[in-house]
Amino acid sequence: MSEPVYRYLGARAALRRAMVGGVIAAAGLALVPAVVSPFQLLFATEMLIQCLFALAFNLLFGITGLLSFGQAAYFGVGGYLAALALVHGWTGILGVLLLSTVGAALAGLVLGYCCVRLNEIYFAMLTLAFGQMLYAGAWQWAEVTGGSDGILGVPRPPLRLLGLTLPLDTGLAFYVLVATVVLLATLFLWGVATSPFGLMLRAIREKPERAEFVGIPVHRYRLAAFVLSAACTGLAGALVVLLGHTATPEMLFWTKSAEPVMMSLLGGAKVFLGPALGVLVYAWLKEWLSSRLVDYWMLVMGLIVVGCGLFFRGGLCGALVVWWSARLAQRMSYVSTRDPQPDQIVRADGSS
Amino acid sequence: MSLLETRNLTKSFGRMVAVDHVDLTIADGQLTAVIGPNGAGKTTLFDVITGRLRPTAGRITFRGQDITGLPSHAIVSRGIARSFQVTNVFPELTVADNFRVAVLSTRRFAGRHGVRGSAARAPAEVARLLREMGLQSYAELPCAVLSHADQRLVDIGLALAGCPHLLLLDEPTAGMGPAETVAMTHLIRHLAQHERLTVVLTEHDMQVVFALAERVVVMHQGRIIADGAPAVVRDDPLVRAAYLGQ
Amino acid sequence: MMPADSLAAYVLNGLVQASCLFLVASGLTLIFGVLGILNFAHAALFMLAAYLAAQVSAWSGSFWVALLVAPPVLALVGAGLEWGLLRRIYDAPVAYQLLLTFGVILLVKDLIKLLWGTAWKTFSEPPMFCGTLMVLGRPYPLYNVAYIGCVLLIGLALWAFLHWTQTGKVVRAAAADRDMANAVGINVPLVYTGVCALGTALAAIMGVFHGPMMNIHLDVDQDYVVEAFAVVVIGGLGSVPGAMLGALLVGMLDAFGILIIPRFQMAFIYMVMAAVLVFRPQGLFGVRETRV
Repeated sequence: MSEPVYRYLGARAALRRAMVGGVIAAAGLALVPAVVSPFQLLFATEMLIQCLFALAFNLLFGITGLLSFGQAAYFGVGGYLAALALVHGWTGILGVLLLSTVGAALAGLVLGYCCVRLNEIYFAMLTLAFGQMLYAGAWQWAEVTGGSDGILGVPRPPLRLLGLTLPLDTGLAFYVLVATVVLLATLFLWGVATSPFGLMLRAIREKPERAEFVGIPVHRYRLAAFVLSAACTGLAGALVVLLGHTATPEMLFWTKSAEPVMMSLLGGAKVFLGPALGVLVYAWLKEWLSSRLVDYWMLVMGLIVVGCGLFFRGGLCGALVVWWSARLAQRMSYVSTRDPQPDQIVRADGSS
Repeated sequence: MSLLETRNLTKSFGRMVAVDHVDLTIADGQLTAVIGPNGAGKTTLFDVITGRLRPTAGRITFRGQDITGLPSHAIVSRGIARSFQVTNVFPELTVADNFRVAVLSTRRFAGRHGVRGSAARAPAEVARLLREMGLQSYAELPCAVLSHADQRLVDIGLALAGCPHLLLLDEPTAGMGPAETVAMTHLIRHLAQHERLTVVLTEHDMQVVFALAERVVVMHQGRIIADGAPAVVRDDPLVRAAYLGQ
Repeated sequence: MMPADSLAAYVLNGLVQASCLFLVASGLTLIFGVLGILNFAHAALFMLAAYLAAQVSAWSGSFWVALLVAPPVLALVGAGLEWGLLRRIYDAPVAYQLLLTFGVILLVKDLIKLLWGTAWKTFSEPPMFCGTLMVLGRPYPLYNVAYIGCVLLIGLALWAFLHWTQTGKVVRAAAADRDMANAVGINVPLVYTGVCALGTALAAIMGVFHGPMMNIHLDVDQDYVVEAFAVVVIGGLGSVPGAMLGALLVGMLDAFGILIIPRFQMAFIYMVMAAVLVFRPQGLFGVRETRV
């Protein structure tokens, strides 16, 4: 198989991995500011937010099997809610983040309710339609959203936590906030993905009808996944607005929705951190290609994307797994399971 | 009290009537076989009973409750399970995970053990199912690499996971060789006798039918044309006409 | 109620937009109906045709030569695309089809940049269609009216082809049931390549006609990508008459939207698309299965 096989971990193993992974990630993230320039730190902050966007998308796509081409809708809802709140004088950053998350979740609930009853292509098209609808609304509802210019000059108030006031004006301070929020959100998504609920979402992805016949109310579970994904996407949107001090309608356009799709497929949708890898690889590739080829990096990027679609369905992670398991197979003897010998099977009544 | 009762059950697709005013009563513990030529409506009957299709008319009562028109997952959580003619498992999940999905979901909705209890009991249940089906050595393999017959076992295991009262098996030996058919027959008999399970199966293989069934129901063009002990049904002229006339 | 002459202008504008949409959407819906693939790159291919037409028009000085050259060339491109790429992803999950066609968009865009740079292009209409027509006392570009007429003819020709010719019936049979068509001896891969070529040629025709009306630049496909999807959804995936009606509806909404709902006319089309998907996913004439 060209893709990694998922095995249910169980609560204890999943928790262990989360703790180990969390510590390593935290250490890695803490090192970053020490080794990069302030400009690169800004870039790293943006990439972390993209990672969250992609991971939230993959909860729907890689785990539940729903291809949404309109996640930008919740990105924009979260972003605009944050912008509006801050511009109107809200000073609690945590409150703003919470507002964006809950607002996007509600939008996900309403829109998702209509979407989850449809299959594959129709689901994708409806999410696309909703995304474009919100984009058009943001573009034209100028009094509220600022029209095509969007909302500019969004302030970034200091973080007030446990009696302390921590200013966030510096790139470093904001990076720490983003890194913490993204890490916590990722751990939350990991918890969802490795829970029994996550296993059932995967079953729904494989065979929705069989899942129904095993007692899972498929529509309800899909809607739940949709809402969770929308919530995390809204959070990412709020962070991006805080980063750039602006909210624009482009946040809602379908090409923005296409980004996490591409990242997840490039990095590998079946592995939890695959999309994050996709974000990093895409960003690095884009930088490298555009510095070498200046004008024609899109051509190479297009070739890579096409190549991935044709040959590397599992994305980078899938390719790595294939390579790794091929090396393992060379070292250990590999027992074929296609034709089991009858005498090796013991049936329930003892006959062979 | 009968376990399952259908009254005047009808399912039509436009002008084609697949299930035609069927009155069927299944008693607790009675191993019933539903047979009939191709196109008789056997699978459609199963589909309607389990909520995969909505009946055009008629009612279905299960353990005294009306289940007509309920969605499949609700019917399943009330205790009816089925396996499929075309093997229907979760191909990329491991065998153990296939069973785990079924165990965790049905327990949750049956509300028997509560959320924490179900998670704690699940590994034991999964192990039990693996033993029952004889699939322990394949537990960590993805279903897709298993042979057809083994995938059929997973399919049945999925149906068993919810501890159903009524198990509907749709052509369980379809596509199997002689040795596998014998093994499946043993398994079904074991399930019917030791698991407090009422089994209803559709079959084309008459040897399996006569080896297992206490009662045979014959369908033809959507209607029941014979219903009784296997030996009686075998000699029924109407049944002969239906099979030979095809 | 507005004066008749302004109304006529609005109606004609709506028809022009509808014509553009029909040409793009009909190809898209044919390709989906027969191959089962939603080709994201379709709109990008029309853009390629527009650039090519501008080039040919600059070389030859004639609009008609461009019209003769661009569609066949693009048909070859479409056929090549099907043969080289799409053929391998028929049975792949939708996500990979969309990813692949999205990658093709990137390729096409950069190819255009490579060949023609980023400058805006334009070329003029044929002398035959120059000038204005008096519609209810108001001048209206003759070219636009001619365009509408041409597209109407093309639409009729397409319908006739699909319903009255042997080849057309073969195409419809392959659309209805791929495996059955194969079993009956129809050379299905050839049909697929042919349909792709046809669909791309239709989009190319749009590209050629589009040039004299509007400037050609690298983002011109954005205007049509999602709207074409909207048309296809409303009309029903796989249905050419559906694409016709859908294009008419969306074109008119585009033109009249400003009058009906001055503030949210952009959103309105997507609302209609969403409503169709929620309440009648198969659209006006579609036949494919839609529910889980």
